[in-house]
Amino acid sequence: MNDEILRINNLFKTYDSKGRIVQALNNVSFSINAGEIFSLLGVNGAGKTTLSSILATLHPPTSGDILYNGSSIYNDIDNYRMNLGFCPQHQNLDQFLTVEENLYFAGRYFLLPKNLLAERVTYLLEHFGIQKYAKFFIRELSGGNKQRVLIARALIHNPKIIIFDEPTVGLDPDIRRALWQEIKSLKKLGITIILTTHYLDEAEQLSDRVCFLHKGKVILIDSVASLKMQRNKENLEDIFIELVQEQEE
Amino acid sequence: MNTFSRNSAIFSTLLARDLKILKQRLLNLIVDGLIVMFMNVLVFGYLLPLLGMSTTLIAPIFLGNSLSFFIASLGYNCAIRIVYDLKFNRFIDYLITLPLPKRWLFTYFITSFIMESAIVSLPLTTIGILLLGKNFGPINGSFIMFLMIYFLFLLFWALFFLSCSFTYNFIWFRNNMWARRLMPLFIFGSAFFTFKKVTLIMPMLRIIMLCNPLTYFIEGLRSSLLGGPDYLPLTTCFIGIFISLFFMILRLRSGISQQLDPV
Repeated sequence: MNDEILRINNLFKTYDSKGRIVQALNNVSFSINAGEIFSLLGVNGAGKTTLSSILATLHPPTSGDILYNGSSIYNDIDNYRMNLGFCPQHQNLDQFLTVEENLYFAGRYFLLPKNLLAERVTYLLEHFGIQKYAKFFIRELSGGNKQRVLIARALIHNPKIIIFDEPTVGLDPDIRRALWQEIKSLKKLGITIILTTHYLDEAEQLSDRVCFLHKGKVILIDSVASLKMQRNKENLEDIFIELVQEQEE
Repeated sequence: MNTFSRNSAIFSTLLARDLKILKQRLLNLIVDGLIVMFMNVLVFGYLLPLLGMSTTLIAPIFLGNSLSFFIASLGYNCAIRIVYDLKFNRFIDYLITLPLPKRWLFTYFITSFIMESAIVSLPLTTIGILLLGKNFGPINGSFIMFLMIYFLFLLFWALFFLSCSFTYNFIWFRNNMWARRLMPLFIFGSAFFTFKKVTLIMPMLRIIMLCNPLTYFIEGLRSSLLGGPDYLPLTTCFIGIFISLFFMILRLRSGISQQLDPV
């Protein structure tokens, strides 16, 4: 349970925004254990999405390194990507294909053998309760079902790590709860989950450990239970507010 | 599976996906293309000559204007899909995180563009030339050379439109692309007249036209297929073509790095 799967070492990210240099990440270091749900929390602009997109290999860091099972991901990025699933904030499914085709092509991109791929597509369609939408185009789906397809697509190649960036934004409460169950079921399969969220109840329900980011820096990392005990608070939201106030002071 | 085989397998899957989507749209594209081609054949091949345009201009204008405009329209449609995706859907982010090196990924974008443009434009160009019949005039050049320049022309448009997609935002692209980029390229790229004839009557246009990459492609298409001394020599065209392609590759690289900042 405590085997380290990812180690983030001294990560910096700066970018130019309309002529202004923004320091999005400032010397971020921590490690993530195999099989845990690790949540990134923080106010807007804290650097959560920047960090998750660097972990998803969408963008490179300005400096620093990420180790996957002890080796830099940048030495063999394709191998790391083969073990990674990414559910971004935007439901960026292939709009020109049906649900089934989205999964089928995703499997082929990750080089699944054809016989295995058919089984995997059927399994995921059933597992996420979207088999009746298999022949639907993405534009014909509700937000909740799109999110299910997005998760199914990220799982098609049996990744060891999944990154969820704000997976329940804009969804109805019942669908949010259903997705929480999906995320918990992924943990049972031994998948490591990195979750970026604004919803503190979500982080509290799902996370083994949480990481608070503020202005691109890691403020603290701990389990929810331990934080509640140390800070003598009833929920994560109170802890979060206290932490933000401390940082502002 | 070695790295090359793995990359080739993903690359061909991406192209298979595009062919599948193209199949759904092909009939519409062909119908649209046929309408445009018929109109061009009617106007430039029959009506304007009846109104006094020299018949020797039919073939060069067909190649320079009708064909180039048609390919540019296909390119614009491909590019607007990318610009729209960058603004709204971000499917491109998914493609970036596939286990495929970025060089292969952007080569796929270019190949896909060329494949779609060629599948639609080659048969329609042939139909256009057949419809013009005798009015097209003699073909004294080489088909192989013509096809070579044709594919380099498709490559140019692929690089041009992709670099524009990664440089300009959706609103600018939709509202300003034709007026501010494409029209000047066409007007000063010898699409509507041949380089030698227009610079004889207006020598000041010479420098402007020689700075325009389209001049080399369009004159190259004419020179390779029609032959004769009325167009820029093929050697000059090839030099201009390769310089233009080199600058387009640099521009595309810069656009990709600014817009996407990929690993």
